[in-house]
Amino acid sequence: MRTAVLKFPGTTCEEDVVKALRLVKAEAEVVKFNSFDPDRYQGVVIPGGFSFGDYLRAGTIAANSEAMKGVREMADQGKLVLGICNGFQILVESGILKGALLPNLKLRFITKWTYVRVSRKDTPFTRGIKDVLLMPIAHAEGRYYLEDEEEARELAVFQYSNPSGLVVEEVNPNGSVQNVAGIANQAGNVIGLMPHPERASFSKLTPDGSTDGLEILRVFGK
Amino acid sequence: MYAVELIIVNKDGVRDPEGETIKRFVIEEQYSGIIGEVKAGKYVRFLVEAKSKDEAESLVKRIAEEKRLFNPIVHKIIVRSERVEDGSP
Amino acid sequence: MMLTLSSKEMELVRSTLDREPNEAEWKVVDALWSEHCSYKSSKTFLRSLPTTGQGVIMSVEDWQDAGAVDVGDGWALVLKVESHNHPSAVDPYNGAATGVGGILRDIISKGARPIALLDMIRVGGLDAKGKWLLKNIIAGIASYGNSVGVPVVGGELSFDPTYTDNPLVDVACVGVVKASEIVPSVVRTPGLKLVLVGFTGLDGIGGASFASRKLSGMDEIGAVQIADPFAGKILIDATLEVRGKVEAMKDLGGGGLAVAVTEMANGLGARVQLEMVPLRVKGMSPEEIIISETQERMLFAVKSENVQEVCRAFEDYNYPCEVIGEIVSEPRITFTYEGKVVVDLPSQLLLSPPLFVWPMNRKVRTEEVKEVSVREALSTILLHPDLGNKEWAYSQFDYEVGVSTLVKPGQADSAVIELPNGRQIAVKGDANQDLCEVDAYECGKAIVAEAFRNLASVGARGIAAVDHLQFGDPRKPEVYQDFVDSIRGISEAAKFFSVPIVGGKVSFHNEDKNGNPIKPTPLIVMAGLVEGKYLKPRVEEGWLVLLGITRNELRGTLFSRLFGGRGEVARARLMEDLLASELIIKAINESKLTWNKDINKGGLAGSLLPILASGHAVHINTKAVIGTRDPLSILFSESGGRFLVLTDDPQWFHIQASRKGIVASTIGKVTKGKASLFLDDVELPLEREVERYLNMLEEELS
Repeated sequence: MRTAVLKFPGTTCEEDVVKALRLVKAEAEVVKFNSFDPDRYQGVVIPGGFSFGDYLRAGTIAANSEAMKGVREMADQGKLVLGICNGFQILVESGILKGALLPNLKLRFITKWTYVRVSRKDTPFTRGIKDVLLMPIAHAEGRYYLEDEEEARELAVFQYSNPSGLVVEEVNPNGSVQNVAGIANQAGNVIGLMPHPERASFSKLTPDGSTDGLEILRVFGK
Repeated sequence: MYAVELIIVNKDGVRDPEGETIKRFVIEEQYSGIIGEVKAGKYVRFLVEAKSKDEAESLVKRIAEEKRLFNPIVHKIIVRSERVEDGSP
Repeated sequence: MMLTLSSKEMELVRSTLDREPNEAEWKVVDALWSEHCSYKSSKTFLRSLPTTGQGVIMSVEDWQDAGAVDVGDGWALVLKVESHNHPSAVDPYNGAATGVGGILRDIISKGARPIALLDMIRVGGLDAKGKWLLKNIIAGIASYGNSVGVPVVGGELSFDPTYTDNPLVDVACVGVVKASEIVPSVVRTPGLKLVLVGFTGLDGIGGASFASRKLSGMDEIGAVQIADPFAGKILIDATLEVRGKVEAMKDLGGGGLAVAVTEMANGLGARVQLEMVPLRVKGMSPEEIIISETQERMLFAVKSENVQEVCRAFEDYNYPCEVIGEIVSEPRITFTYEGKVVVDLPSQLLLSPPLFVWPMNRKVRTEEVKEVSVREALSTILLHPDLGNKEWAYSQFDYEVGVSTLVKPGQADSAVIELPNGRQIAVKGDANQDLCEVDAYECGKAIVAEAFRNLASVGARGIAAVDHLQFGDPRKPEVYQDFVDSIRGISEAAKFFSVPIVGGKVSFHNEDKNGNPIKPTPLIVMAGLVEGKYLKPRVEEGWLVLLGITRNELRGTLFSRLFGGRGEVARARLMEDLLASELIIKAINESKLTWNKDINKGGLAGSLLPILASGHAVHINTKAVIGTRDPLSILFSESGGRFLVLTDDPQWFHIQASRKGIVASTIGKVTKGKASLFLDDVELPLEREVERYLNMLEEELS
């Protein structure tokens, strides 16, 4: 499907996402934030990076932009919206996804390969995919917070886990509530996650040769 | 008991990219002319057992300097306080 | 008015101009004739570095620019190294961050896209000050590199009391560009418009002079620039968009507009109207505008008809872009403000400071030797932070961005990155203050050889390098002697390996607060092309083969830093390095090894740490080590030309080595088990050392 990969000033991962999307035969193109027409696309990906320098709070300045009004339209229309890392932060700051992403508990940027358990298979992105995925995280503000932990667990699509899929405290890299690595809206057409699926799409780059990121991105190729 | 607020901002003349970006991308279009400079900084609050406002504020100032809570090359600090009862503001 | 010019230099200026320069003009000369910008104390000798060779597309004409080398399929690699030593001592976070910003701009000013960064950091130790410096330096580098989306893929960390008051923060960057699209930094025709992007403010006034004199400890606020990585990212994106539409590009660094305009004009002239410069702060004086070193600004030379398109790309990001002047044929640099002439100086005068050759003299070195047992030395050295696991540092960098990092930080001695043409390059930075302190000449050769070996250990052959020469005050004869000797060493080794030095920097006046110079610390950053396969190292059970001769050369090693040197100084026997490196590359291509390490800091003992830390024990038979019989030398000598190899086919190495004219010996084996070193069947448990090796930085710095 025609997929927009949104670029804000400060976005860094747009080319990586396009490379990965093309592997699954998506019609993907980078679209600048100030010339984004939501009607032209069936899907939109908000890639990682440091939009507006992450100033004030990661994702907050981008959340205020016209472009995000267009993303909200697409979300309401049931189109596919995927927010990766900074993209997740922007979706949360815009209120399109619930919760907040706070600074990591250790107050440091963390780069690391992590396993996540797929906790919801009722979304277009996760229908019928593997139970455990290996993907890298790289962030300083990835601690997911929602006051109602029960609700967090219901919305969670991905939770940090050990290689067998067990969600345990010691693999939680940033203090996220319920080990949440990614959530979706109720309908499931909007997903935000901190790990980078585009970086787990090329076997020469992954620690074990897997391409688990493509499992999530595959839906854009339909 | 005193609630002492320590505000750390960049000295005048030292760049503040965060303040500038907030001004340029969030404030500017709507409020230019009304809102001039925007500065961003850090806020740290201490609850101090002291006999007077001055004592409480001097203590926090000293801690800020000794423990390098701010870098005097680039930051300036604003210290203000108010008296509180049993730890609540 | 604080100038760094000597009275002789000032006299020369007066007599050339036949008048007294005004204050603004003095500041301009001061910036251009500063050591940092002019290399006046070093140029005479820098010219002996081999800068050309097969594959060099752009050799270095003036020493500030990045050189470019061919990597096949019409692509070129641009390589640069930069340091921000003095600013980082005062404000380590911003000093290091702006260092990254500066070097990124150097790369994009060639029209190249930055694809990798390396950081080489040296502080005094893990005391309170050292920790404060290190935490902030790493955070600063991370914040800038991560924000602009360029992965930091490797580096070095060294802890040595010589750097206590004067840390060294070196950042290197690699960029790629189509060879046909490389943009020069100098102009050749008059009439081009000068276009400036970015705001100019009060930060960094006098920074070039700051780098060119000792840290005075006074309130050096003017010299600290605040990093704005967001602006840096905008600058990278927009500059790369317009690179095809400009005739020359220069980033504004030391000396601000004064230096950028003069150097870009390169002997032609330039007229600049200062009132056109976009200002961040109202009411700046013309003089301040000229020498401000505000970051995140670029200068372009543009044909009139392209100006609008160039500026549109920046205005799209809300970034200021203005025509501030033009290149003229009359060879004078003229700055005016609202019609009044503020500065008017001949280009040639500015570009031709008198060169200096200072007196030089070898110092007499005495060393105190401490008696130490093998066990105690082993423990101490294995616990040294120089050898410690660096995950605390590199996990703060976004090293996966760009989906090109094939061999990641911590996995091997060099990082391996994929290029747009599908080939792979390896990059590594190396310095060795211990050896340089004892014999700067041998050290110059040794660091080039070490970088070459490090690249070979992942399957790459060095094709280009940049050097950074970091010393104390050049007016001190021993410092200057070491400086000249190290250049000789680097030149010879670079020529021998056919690795041209395509760029470099000199940083003098690095001293402690008592005026003692730091140990001489020249640094080499080398890039190499993978010939065939690259290696993703993996420790498994197998045989340990040591390539090369181990010599009784303990002077100038980590061992000597701790216990005093004894025996000989390691000499760089370049043939041994070359042959051993070639053998390793061949072994990688024929899949004859799973892991290897070139022997450097910490000697053979140091090289065992990654093996011990991965759930394996090491058995070594010292009698099998070819060369010296001295037990301390066997474990801790850092003599070159050696690799430790983990293989299941040791015979292959014996045969191949002998065919090449070097030696290989099976010295032991690796087995699964707890971390112990079996030295001649005597078990030395090292679990405590390995645990500390893995967690030291995390424990000390969290």
